[in-house]
Amino acid sequence: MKKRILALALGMMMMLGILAACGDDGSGDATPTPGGSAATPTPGAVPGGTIEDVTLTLWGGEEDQTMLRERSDAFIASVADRVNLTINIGVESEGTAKDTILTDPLAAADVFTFADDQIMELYMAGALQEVLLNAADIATRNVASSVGAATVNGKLYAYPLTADNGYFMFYDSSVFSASDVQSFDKMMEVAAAAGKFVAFEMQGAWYNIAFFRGAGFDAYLDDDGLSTIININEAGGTAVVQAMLDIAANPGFKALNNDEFVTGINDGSVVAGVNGPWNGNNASGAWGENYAAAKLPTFTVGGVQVQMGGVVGHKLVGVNAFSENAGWAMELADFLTNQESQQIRFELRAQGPSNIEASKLPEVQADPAISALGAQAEFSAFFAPGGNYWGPMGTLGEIIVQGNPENIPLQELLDNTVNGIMG
Amino acid sequence: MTGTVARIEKKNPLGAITGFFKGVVTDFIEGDIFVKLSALVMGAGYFRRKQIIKGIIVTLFQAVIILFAGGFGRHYLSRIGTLGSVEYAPVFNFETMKNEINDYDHSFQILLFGVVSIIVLAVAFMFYLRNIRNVRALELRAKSGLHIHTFLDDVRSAKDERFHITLLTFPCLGIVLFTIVPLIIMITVAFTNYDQLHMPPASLFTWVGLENFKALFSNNIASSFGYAFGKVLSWTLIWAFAATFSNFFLGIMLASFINNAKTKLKRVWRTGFIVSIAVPQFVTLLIVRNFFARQGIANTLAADIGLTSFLQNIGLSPAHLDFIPFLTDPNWAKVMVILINIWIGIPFTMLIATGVLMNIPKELYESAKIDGASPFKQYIYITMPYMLFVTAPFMITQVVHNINNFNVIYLLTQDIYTTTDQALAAVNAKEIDLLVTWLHRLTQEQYDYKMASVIGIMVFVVCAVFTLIAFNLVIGRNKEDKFQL
Amino acid sequence: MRKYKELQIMSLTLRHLFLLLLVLVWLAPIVWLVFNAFSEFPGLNIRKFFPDSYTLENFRVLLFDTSDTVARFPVWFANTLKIAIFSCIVASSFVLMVSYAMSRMRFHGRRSLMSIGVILGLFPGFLAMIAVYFILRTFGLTNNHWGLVLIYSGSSGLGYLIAKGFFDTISETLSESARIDGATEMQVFWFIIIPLSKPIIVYTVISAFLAPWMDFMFASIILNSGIATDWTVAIGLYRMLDRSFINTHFARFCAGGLLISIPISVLFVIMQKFYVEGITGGAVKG
Repeated sequence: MKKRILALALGMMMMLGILAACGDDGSGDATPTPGGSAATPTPGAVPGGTIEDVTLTLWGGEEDQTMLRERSDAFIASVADRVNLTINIGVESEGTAKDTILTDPLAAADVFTFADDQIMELYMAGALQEVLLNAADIATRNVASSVGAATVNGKLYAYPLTADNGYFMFYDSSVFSASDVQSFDKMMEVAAAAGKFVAFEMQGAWYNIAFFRGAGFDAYLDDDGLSTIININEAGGTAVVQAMLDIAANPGFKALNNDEFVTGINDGSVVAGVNGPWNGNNASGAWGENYAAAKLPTFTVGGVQVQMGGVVGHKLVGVNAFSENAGWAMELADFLTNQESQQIRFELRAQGPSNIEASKLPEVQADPAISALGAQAEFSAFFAPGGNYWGPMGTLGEIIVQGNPENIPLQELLDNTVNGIMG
Repeated sequence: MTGTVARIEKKNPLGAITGFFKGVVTDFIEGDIFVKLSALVMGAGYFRRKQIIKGIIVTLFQAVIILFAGGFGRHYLSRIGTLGSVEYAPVFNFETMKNEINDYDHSFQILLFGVVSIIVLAVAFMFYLRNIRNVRALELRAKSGLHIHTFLDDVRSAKDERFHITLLTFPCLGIVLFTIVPLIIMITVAFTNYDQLHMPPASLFTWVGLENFKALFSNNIASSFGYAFGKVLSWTLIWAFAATFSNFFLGIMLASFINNAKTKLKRVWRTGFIVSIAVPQFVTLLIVRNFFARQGIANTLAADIGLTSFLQNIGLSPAHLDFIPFLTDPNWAKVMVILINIWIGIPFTMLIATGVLMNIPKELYESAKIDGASPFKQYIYITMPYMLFVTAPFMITQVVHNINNFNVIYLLTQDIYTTTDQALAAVNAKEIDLLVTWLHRLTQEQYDYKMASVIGIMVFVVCAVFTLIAFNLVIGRNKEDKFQL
Repeated sequence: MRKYKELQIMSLTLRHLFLLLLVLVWLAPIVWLVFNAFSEFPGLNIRKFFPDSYTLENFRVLLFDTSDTVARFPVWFANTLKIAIFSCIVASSFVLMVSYAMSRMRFHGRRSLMSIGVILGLFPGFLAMIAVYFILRTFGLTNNHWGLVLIYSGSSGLGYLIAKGFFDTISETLSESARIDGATEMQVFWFIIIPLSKPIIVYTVISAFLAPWMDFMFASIILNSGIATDWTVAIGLYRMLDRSFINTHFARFCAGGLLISIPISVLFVIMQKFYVEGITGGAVKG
């Protein structure tokens, strides 16, 4: 008897809730696209019809918020005759966009910026809308490497935004001469003599591949689109590890991550370091006139000087395939990556354009970070391994930074890493 | 009316269930036409006894359930066996500027609403059977000329002898919706292949049986889950006990130290410790994490006073580093998180302990003093046992809380700790991970929901085993009633 | 005799020096937080414990400057306050209702319900979160403060143990005599027990109110639009220490931490008295 009211109330409440869900289900489950099946042409694309209200969400890095707001407003004005657009801008840095989007693509922004190494995972999760509007123009107006980075299986899935997502050598020209920075050994020697440090994030898997790439090894994505192929445990790999161990043990060297690097250049203990163009403003703030940049140096592998390899990286703008207004989202992405927007991005945020015309501008060519990346380009390549690459490779780096405390044979270190990555 | 059933129920749950079903059948056979009719229209028996409102409510309930089962329930239950078969395939319509999406299956939604449907239908079915018994009881009451409750009587009893039902309905509903249903869902995920390769909405996942559990208990080249699980589990247990007992003993020591008659300015000291509680935990943890960063202020100070080189000389800090790896070396980090947890936890324990200490009967200490017991002996033989006795249930829940203590580990080590064990790195675990932080990383960074669910189930098993043993050791079964006056 | 006195003074001094040392250890990070909040250097100062120069700029930016999209402190504060008030109302009523039923009433299934409660507490709460997210999304409650209110208060009935412990200690004779005078159970709850339970009510209310200020995990999963004006204080402060912001926002983070600590510590001081009473009251009388 006593349970009856409880059961009744429970049942009724559940019913109500579930009915609500059910009602939602009818329209929501199958079709997040109002008017999807109906053949009525929406006036959105047809000038002269009633103007549709459309709301888009745009995600970009924190530092870009003001600029994105201005560019979005310009876009709204440019399409005002065709659509009544509202654009909300949220914060999601290019480096972590994938993590947030994959958690729930349906809740993610309509347009987002991301680093090119995330493209496969986003594509596999079905989160990227194929570029269907103006694709030919986008493919021709951007540099080939950036278009390649935005292409999956021969189709364009993203809009190239910058061509500067790589790393190079920052240095204080009052400490180093232009010839010093040709060699890592020389740099560490000079820094150690001054009681300062050269920084490199050796425990970072995105950076430490540079040593292996220089010696001819590589890591790349398998055909399945998610697993990684890596060959660093083949003959000669141990010499690279030994070289890295030697560098890590050098008194003129410190393995610093991004924020430690900035802290270091601010307090003067770091006089050179490998990092990316996003720290250009920090470096010129700390070193002023003496801020200089160069391609990555050479380092010693088994007594031979070897040029470090690098990463040619890009930032891309993607359109969410689950967007209810994929068309307008594509137009917005197109607008945000056109020549004018990229030039403004360079002026305000010092990010190197992927647009061919914009990248030829003299002020772009003169930027130290961009010219350093340009000089590094011939030793660098696109880099987008699978998700399982990062953990084990970071661990290898950490072991090297700590000086291989357990004295594991170097070949075993590499074998373990490769096993961890390739499974 | 439920007398016999209740008696059986106490003896043996299985007997209770068969008893219930037998009762339903006998009631149905022996009942009058309205009892039989109420198997068809649930309200029938109430209408006959003039319980009109109740009859309407019950019949409405039946109608809703039938609608539910035919629409929503059928849709999802018919797909739960495969978890869907139609893949997501959008087609862009250039005219409308929108994607046209097919009627695709969303495996997780099917699982979620399939489970919800099963629960609703099961509850409804039990309610339906119960209803037959109730109607029969009503018939018997009417036949023996007893008072038939009106709707107002029912409302009144909801405020009195059935007040607990009024009190418990909404809280229980909340628990069902926000704890029980989600837990069932996530437990079932452990039997699917829901991971990054099979992630809705773009792709489907399906049932795989016990595969994931096999992966957890196997240890081969392809999967070091078994190895990592063993490592993480043992550290989780060490952490949980170390964190709980260090806080307990040190907190009581501190409280008795401050409460000692010789200590002046008791209030000032106490406030000094309590100030650290006032700052929200995530703020203090993030502050402390930056305090002990590799290039942090603690390392600067340690280097300045020569602590870094001293520790290096005695072999406690790696010699090739120019800093103390407070939160980045496995051993250092483990010690540090326990120390930092002491820092966070002691003020709380001190507060509670102060309250309890003040309540220890003074006579105990006085007679001990007469017997010539030293303060230390008093602590061992009076204070500790008393505290243990009073706070044992609290301690047990603390251990479980610490097994699941996500915040301390996550906020102190996320993003800054890199493992140096390749076998752990291959499955995204770290030496410093608790099972919960590993679970969190697997879902939020690797989208390996299937293994995360398996680990979640293992956390439960660990906690359950511990709690069972601990409660049986420490607390008798019926102590609760003794505490009541 | 004199020697004994000297010894005693020495032991007293030692005792207080020891306490002073401990308190210093406990206060050091807090002091660091306070000083950094007033630091003119925006990033992480790793060379010196105390900042070189002081300013109120961090507070000004935090409270009045809306151009910094990372730091929208007043909006976060208002959001969190709203969430805290509503989840506090629901959660404390749930806790009090469940604990009263479990403590003062005897009914069929009470023990089983309590065991189920214990069992549910053994699962890691985070595991359920993924499914809860999808349930809420079905109802359009993700990216929504009400969804967060539901998360904080929905299962709060499970946290009834401390309040039950307190109700257990209230003498049965009072309610018994009220019942003899014809009071219903509801009247006993409302007019007899509730007025006697001020300590535990204050404790329950304050701890329910504080939860949304401390939690960032659930909040960051539910409020995932990336739009800063939707966030709670905890998410906002946490995001300020992201790798890319820590060098510009550390001092602001400290200022924000200090600002929310003030109301929280006031509430905490009120609560702690009742907390101790609530938690120890039951056990001691037994």
